[in-house]
Amino acid sequence: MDNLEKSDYNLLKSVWPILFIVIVCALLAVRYSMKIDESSSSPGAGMGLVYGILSLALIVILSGYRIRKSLLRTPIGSLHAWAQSHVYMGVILIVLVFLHSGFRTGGMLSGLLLALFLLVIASGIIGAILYKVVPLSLSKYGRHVMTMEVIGARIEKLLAEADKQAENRSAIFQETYSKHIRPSLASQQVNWGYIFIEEDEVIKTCKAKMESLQQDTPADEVYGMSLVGAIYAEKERLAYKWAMLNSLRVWLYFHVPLTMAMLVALSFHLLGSFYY
Amino acid sequence: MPGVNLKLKTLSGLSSIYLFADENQADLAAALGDCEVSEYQPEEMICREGEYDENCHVILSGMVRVGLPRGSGGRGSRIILSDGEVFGEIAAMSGAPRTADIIAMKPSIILNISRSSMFSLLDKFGSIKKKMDALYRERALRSQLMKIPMFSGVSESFVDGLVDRVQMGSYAKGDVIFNEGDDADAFYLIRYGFVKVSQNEDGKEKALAYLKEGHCFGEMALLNEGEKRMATISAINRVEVIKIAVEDFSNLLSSYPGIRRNLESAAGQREDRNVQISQDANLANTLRTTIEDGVISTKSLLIMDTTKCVQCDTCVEACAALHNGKSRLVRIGAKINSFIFIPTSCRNCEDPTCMAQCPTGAITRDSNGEIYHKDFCIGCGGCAGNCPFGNITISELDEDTDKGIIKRIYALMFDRGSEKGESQYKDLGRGPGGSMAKGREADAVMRKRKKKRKAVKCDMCRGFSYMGCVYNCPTGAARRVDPTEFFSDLTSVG
Ligand code: HEM
Repeated sequence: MDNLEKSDYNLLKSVWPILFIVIVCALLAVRYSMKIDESSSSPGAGMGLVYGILSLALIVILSGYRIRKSLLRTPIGSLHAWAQSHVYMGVILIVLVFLHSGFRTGGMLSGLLLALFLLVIASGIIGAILYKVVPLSLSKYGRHVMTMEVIGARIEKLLAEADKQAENRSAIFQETYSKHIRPSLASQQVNWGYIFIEEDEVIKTCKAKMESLQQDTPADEVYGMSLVGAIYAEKERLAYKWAMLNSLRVWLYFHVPLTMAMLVALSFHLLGSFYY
Repeated sequence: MPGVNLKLKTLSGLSSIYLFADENQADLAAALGDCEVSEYQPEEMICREGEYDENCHVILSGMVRVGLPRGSGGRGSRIILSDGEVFGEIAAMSGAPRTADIIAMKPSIILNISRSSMFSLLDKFGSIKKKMDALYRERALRSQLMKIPMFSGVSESFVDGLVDRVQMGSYAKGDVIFNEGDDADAFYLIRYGFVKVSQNEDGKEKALAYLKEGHCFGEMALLNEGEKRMATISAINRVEVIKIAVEDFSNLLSSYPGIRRNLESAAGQREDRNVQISQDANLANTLRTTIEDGVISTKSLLIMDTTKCVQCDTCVEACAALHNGKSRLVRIGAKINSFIFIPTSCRNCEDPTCMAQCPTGAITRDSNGEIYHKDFCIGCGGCAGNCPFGNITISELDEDTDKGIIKRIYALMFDRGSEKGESQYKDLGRGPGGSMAKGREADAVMRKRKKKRKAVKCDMCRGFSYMGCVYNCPTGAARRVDPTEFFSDLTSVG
């Protein structure tokens, strides 16, 4: 029943993690078997230089991912293989860069380059986590694929439904609705806080809010308020998906520009190295 | 490759062909009007083993051999067929690849009856159905029966006896073969098509499994005398069955007690399975949707795993890049279960309704089983209207009349738009923000181009070594699968 009950998403299925561990161990073994004194090792000579050249090669390949992504008609390896290699090579790169720098930050330019590099890596790791977590959370939802368009259209519908529910109700009901619920229903803003919490927590918060609001609702309208509450919870559930989907787009606005900045700093770093 | 293609209307003398002899010639000519006739020279290959060919062939004149190609060392046996004989009917009916090479021995004129025409001939003309059934009985029935796992160990003479006595049955899509609670009349073997096994639960139909070609059903109620049918069996698409009568089945059970034991243990497994379906909403849902959405009766299905899809739309961009800037893939569709969804993309159905009424024969299946439109499609929209999944659209395609070689090489080397699948109009500034000069340039290009209506559907990236959408999915969410393998857990137990 494997095909039907669970997705075959299993990173360990790929050969990359094993290769990754082997390479990292090999590098560390080389490093320590040579027993290089940290203070005397130089990034521009001996093994330091080798690590530098290897790092450069990996950075070129990692940046090449963007090019692969736009060469959709050219059979140079499946994008999935490229993406997997990208993530693992990126992590190997951290070790290589530190081995190259001798675990020091160096001068101003090198320091800036290292900082940008770490930001690129950090944003990459965040992206890799989002790539794993977001689709899983979106897939939990009903019979339809949750795209931006589907979510947007549903949210609009929910507002209209809630407005209808609130029509011809008592003044207290109307006030509670327009003050405490409608603004959230009508809000188009992405609630970024949602990407750090579980969907169930969002629903719990909604329920708690509705319970407190229901205390002031006239007894004969409690049922009506619970219907509005259900719509509100649905909207927040969708807003959660919306935030999740948005995070997939937004993180690239960090990862790619940071990569660009790092490549500029790297060019200066290389020029400097050749010059001196 | 066939020699000359002649239209059937130009040929007369169908009455001299055994298969057609007993029918009204005018009705036949009308029914066969769209069929093609091909001429073959000696040693020309008519069908190749392993390839898909949706036609049943009738030799109008000439001689062909079925078997090994010339020079292959004379292994195995050959069958020689001549005037009036039929070949390829089994593969045409089942949609399976050819099982043998067929080669012309003399100059031969062959009538090619498409699968859909063959089915309508069988439905319309009783004598043709009878003769085709007799042919099946003679050529394939014995081996079909021997293939049933339940029959392993049954003597050849017993099977030979059955071959003469079994009955054939045909059912249209949706027909009920028998109902839960009916008296048991026979044991069934599916010759072609898919059936649904379902039970009534509180007035609602609950799907339990689907069965396909080569599977059997109806044995449970025959195990104990007087027992009624435990489930309803209905046809998911066109279904052809072989019926073994109660007496023959009882004979089988009494002659081979091992068969009874196996069936009884299979019955126990089925019970467990039904309980599992009642308790597992996801499984029950998957089963229902795969049957209702017609997933099962397709040959190849593009699926997307929602637990991996990051909605980057690179698949759609890739599809456009490989198809002149127009994507055939729409990344929306119904979810089959909690994580798989089926986007809008050709499913290469077993029984493609899109191919049924194409006036020009432009929509066809290739030797790998893939359905595609040939260049001479006139964009009439018949296939699009017939596709039950809405996977064909009619599109106005640009036809670049400027075929300059320099321009084409330039486009290949430098036109990033064509690599990325962007429309050239957009590149030329038709979109917002384009300069006036670019706009005029675009108009000039537009005048040079003719617009052509064409049916557009997923062609599984014909001519490319990979499928654009699958190859360019960064997370491995998009996959092409054979539904009968992928959903094999949904077939019946035992
Ligand atoms: C120096 C190191 C790195 C460079 C130069 C780099 C560069 C890039 C570039 C240019 C892209 C293409 C973005 C686009 O689609 O436009 C990308 C995507 C991506 N990167 Fe990195 N990256 C680096 C390290 C990492 C690391 C360490 C990880 C994760 C651990 C990572 C994860 C990703 C992911 C998940 C994507 C998106 C894949 C996709 O959408 O297909 N990157 N990176």
